[in-house]
Amino acid sequence: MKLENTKAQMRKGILEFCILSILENKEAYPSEIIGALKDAKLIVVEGTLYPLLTRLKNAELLTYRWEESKSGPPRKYYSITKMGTTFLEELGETWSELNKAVSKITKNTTK
Amino acid sequence: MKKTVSVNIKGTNFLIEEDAYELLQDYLKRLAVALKNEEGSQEILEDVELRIAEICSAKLSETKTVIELKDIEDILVALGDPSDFLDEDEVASSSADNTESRRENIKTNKRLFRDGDSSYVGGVCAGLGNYFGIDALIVRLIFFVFILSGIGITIYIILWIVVPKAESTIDKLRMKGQPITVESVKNEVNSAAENIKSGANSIKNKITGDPVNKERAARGKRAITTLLGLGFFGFGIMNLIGFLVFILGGFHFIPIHGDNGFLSITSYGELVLSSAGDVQLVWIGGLLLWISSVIFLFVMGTLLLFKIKSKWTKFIIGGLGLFAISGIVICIVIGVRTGRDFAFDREIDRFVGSSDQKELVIVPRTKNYKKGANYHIRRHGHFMDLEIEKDRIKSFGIEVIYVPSNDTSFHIIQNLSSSGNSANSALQRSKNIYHDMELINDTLYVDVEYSFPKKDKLRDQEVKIIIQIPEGSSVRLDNRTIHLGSKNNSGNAEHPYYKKQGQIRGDGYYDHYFDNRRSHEVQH
Repeated sequence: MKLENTKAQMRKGILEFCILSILENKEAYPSEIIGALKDAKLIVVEGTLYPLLTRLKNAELLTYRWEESKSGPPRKYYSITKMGTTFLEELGETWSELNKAVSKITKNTTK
Repeated sequence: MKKTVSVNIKGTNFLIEEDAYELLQDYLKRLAVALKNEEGSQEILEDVELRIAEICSAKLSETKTVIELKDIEDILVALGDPSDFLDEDEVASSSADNTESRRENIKTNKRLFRDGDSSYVGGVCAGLGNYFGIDALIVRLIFFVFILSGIGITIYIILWIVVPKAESTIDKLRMKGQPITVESVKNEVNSAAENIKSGANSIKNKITGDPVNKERAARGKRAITTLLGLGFFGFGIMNLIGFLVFILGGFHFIPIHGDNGFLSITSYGELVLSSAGDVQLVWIGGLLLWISSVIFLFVMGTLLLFKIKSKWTKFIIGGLGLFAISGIVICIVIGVRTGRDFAFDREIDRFVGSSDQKELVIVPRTKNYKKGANYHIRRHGHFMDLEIEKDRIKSFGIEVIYVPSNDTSFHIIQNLSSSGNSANSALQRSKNIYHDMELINDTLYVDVEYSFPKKDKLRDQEVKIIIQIPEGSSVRLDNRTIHLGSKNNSGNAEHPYYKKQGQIRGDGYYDHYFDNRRSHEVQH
């Protein structure tokens, strides 16, 4: 149980980072984001995504526009804002620092 | 046949099965509760609805036009439990098997629940319909037939009390859940079952998929429901009229049977039941049952016709059920007590006389028979005429049994039999039977009636005359001649009336039994 919790905490921390990364170069609607995250096994249930998207949008890191769809209901296309890009860069730096730190430690301990 | 509803999810219209709709509705409600402290919860809910609409439209095709329960279940499993939306700790636990266990939780074995959402009265029929996978309307029709035959009300009320109502989503899923767990398709048995199911679904879709058909089906259903309601009303009114006639007729109107006369149920009860107390108890029981079923029928009719639901219906019907059940219990107790009086059969034989003549003539004595003064009661497949005197019951009709004689003479034996709750009481009752006959030369004069004390009650008292016929001789009775086959040739017809049994009726006519229905009793 404890182990699972730790994994969850780790995933949770990087989920927002990943969402912003997915949206960095192109806009996407939730299903696409879900697809990408599911492929990467970052999420199990789709429900997790929606509160995050809303939170990011309310923090003005994301914005969205409506688009009609031929095959179903209209879609909400999310794209990253300027503030979002800045935040993503910061997150990227933090991530690579962390990455370095973690690999350094794990390398040392496995030696 | 399943009810569907049309819903609009974020501007897109879907036909969705009613149970699927309820499940979805319930999910969204729980989600709203789970998210109520979350910022932008309204928006999250809208996004989720959008996603549902999106998946739904992806699931539909030319051949599939209705969203089914399974579709919604799939969607809800994909979306995750409302608690997963916030409590991300849970999201973690590793991928595939978690999804499966989640689904397994939903799709546990089917259980019987009362379906409060599609109920008219207590949801028993709808619940049974869900359980057996048939439309509630069909169950209601079956129940109606049961109610007409008198036991439906009790069954309904017992089920109402015993079967829990489906309150939560899990209950509702269990109530409707497929008996096959779709997720465990791994093993072949289930995959085969799945194929059958999907086949059935596609057929079902073909039949019900068309919105026009659906509309027609819905209209037909409403019509039948209305008819059913009217049926309850009609039956209730019939019952009520019968009841009023019964009451106003001073309890002496309803004939127990007959074209020759009428016998009130009270009098019949007094003839059969052991004590006056029992008669009263049966009255009370019967009245309880009757009144409660009349009211029940009216309530059912009202509920079906006007689809009124109030918290009182439960109490009213529960109370009626209690009345009905206590009525039934009283009647059963008395019935069992009376039935015990039929547990032992005893008979006594009295030798009447012998005759050496070639032919025996039987002459019925009908001087005591008054046409139209008797009660006609059907018992053991033949009619029995009764006449009630001050302290004796007179019964008409004497059985005659022909058996081969061991010597060259006719021997006539009178056989008196009765039932009782012990060998002794049965024997005593047999002894209490009075029946007179007289053998003068070759002629047997037989009273067509016999009597027994009223206090003995009706306990299958019977009189048989056993006539032993020597070989080559015959019996003449009511212009018939009765032979027995020779010993080497017993039972074979030398004459039309070779059979071994008959009955002298109250009016003196003789019925010869051509079928062998009572022959097993003859093997003395």
